[in-house]
This record gives sequence, structure tokens and C-alpha cells, in this order.
Amino acid sequence: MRYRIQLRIREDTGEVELFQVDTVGADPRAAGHNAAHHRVATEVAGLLENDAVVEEIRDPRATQPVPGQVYRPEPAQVQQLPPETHSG
Amino acid sequence: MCNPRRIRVRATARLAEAWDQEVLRQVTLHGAATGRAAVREPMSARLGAPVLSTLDRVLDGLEGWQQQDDGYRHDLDGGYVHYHADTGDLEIVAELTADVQAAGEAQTTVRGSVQDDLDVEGVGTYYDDGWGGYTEDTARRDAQANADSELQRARAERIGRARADLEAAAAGDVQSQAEEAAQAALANATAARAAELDREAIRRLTTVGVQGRALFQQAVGLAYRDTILAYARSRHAEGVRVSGSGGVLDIEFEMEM
Repeated sequence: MRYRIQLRIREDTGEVELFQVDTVGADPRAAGHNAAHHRVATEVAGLLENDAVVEEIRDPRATQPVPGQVYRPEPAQVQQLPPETHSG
Repeated sequence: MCNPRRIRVRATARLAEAWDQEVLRQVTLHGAATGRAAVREPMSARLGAPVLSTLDRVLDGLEGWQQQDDGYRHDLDGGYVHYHADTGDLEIVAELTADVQAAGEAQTTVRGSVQDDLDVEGVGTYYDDGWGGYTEDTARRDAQANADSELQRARAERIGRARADLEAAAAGDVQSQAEEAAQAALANATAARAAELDREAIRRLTTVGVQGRALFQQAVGLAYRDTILAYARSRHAEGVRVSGSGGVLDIEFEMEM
């Protein structure tokens, strides 16, 4: 599968404001999609911090979960899903 | 007026004096007291191994950080922060220093004595014709007065020399005792001041910690950047974008897994 990784770091504090792993062009209903997505998000987040908590982003406007994966470093920053984000 | 004539009078005296002499020494010593409070935080528990291995390179040459012992240190107002690369610990130290001064003194009383035979001479001058009123009689009186005066001077000089010799003989021990007393006083004063500074350092540790963690986290942010870009290269990522504006750094790439 193809993944898009986005990372935003505040230069004055070193704080990670955004860390998001999206699938690109993949079918979210495909077998093993979510597990693979979670594994990759966990692997990339684990580069930065141990025991990184990876959560699936849920778009409050959607009736179904939008399976982007976001790593929440401390201090936790609520990640808003950009409207143009496509998940596989 | 004819040539002057001189009359010489000899005076002798037996000098036998004894006295008690006090020898006193005071020593002032200066030193410094240091108070310290420290806390170590294991960064290896939080940061991923790739970030930890990148931190060394980031901190090397980063402004304000100096390589020291097993890691890197950044001095702060009232302390410093030291990242120990070998253990991955971040040590935050509040440190205060103050000048300390203490004095010590010692004294002793020594018995002094001097016995000597003093033998001096006084001279008087006169003229045969009594010119200027200088007659043989006046010359004799002058010679006697000079001899008496010289006797007093010789006595004072002899006693003074004896007192100085006595002072010099006793001074070494008294000076050592005064230095020992000063060193003991300085040690006590330093320990007391250090205890005060330790308490003050504990109070300041919070402030130093805030500064130290913030500085370290800045370096961690750079290590995040380098780590994720190294990962992208290792995965042959495509479309790698690194852009910075408004004090934030954005990194984006895509990869196949």
C-alpha cells in the first residue's frame, strides 16, 4: 500500500504539532487494510517516541470512521482531519 | 678660632632585662561555597532509539551546547542541563556559588631576656680660645651627654633586636596555628553556606528545569526532523517536501509498504 506521512514540528519548542499517516488510493474495505495501516503508523511514530499512541482519526461529520492514523505526542494535540485528506 | 679639639668620654653599662612578649598572628582566608540540586530524567524511556542516536549529531555544534564528558552541556542562568549520551539521561542541575571568607588567629606569650655589656663613647668639641662658647668644660658635658644618649640608643637597639629575634622564633608556630584556625573556620563557613545554597538550588531547580527541558526539546525537534528524513530515504520515499514558515517545519512524503 502507499502511504503519505505528514509531520509538523514547531521550531522554537521542538513540539510535534502534527503527525499523520494516511493511505493513498487504497480500499479501506480491503482485507487487512486497517491492520497494515496501523502497523505502518505505529512503526513510523515509534521512530520518534517509544510507546507512541496511534489513534484512528474520526471525522465528526462522517458516519463511518476515516482511517487516517495519527500519533499523538505529548502534549497531546487534537488533530483535525483536513477536508482534502483521502483515506484508502 | 683655631683647630677644634675633641674630648671623648666612654660610658659602659650592664644590660640585664627580662620581659613577657605577646606574639599574635591573624589569618584571613577566602573560598567559595557551592550549592547544587539535580534531577536526572531518562530520555531513552520516551524518545525512540533512532532519535536518540541522531541527537548526538544534532547537539554537536548546536549553538550553546558544549561537548563534555559523555555528552553535551548547555549552561543556564543558575545552572546547566547536561545530556548524557551514553545513558540517554537528561540531567538538570541548579548550581549556585558564593564567596566565603573566614578568619583565624593565634597568640602566645614568650619570655624574653637580654644580658649584655654596653660600651659606648661620646665626643665633645671645643676650641682653645673658647670660640663660640665651646670650652673644654662644655665639651666634656657634651661628650658625657652624647655618651649617655648613645648608651640609651644602644640599650634600645639591643632590646629591640632581642624582641625581633624572639618574635621571629615564635612566629612560625603561631602563624601555623592561626592558619589552621582560619582553615577550620573557612571549612565551617563553607559548609554552612553550601547548605543554604543547596536549599536555594532546590527552589531554583524548577525554573532551571523549565529552561533546560525547553532547550533540549528544541534539539529533539531537530532530531525528529533528521530521523524522519533518514527514514524516508531508507524507504525510497517519493515527493519528499520540507518547508518552513511561521516557526513551523512541515515534512511530507509518500512511500510504498
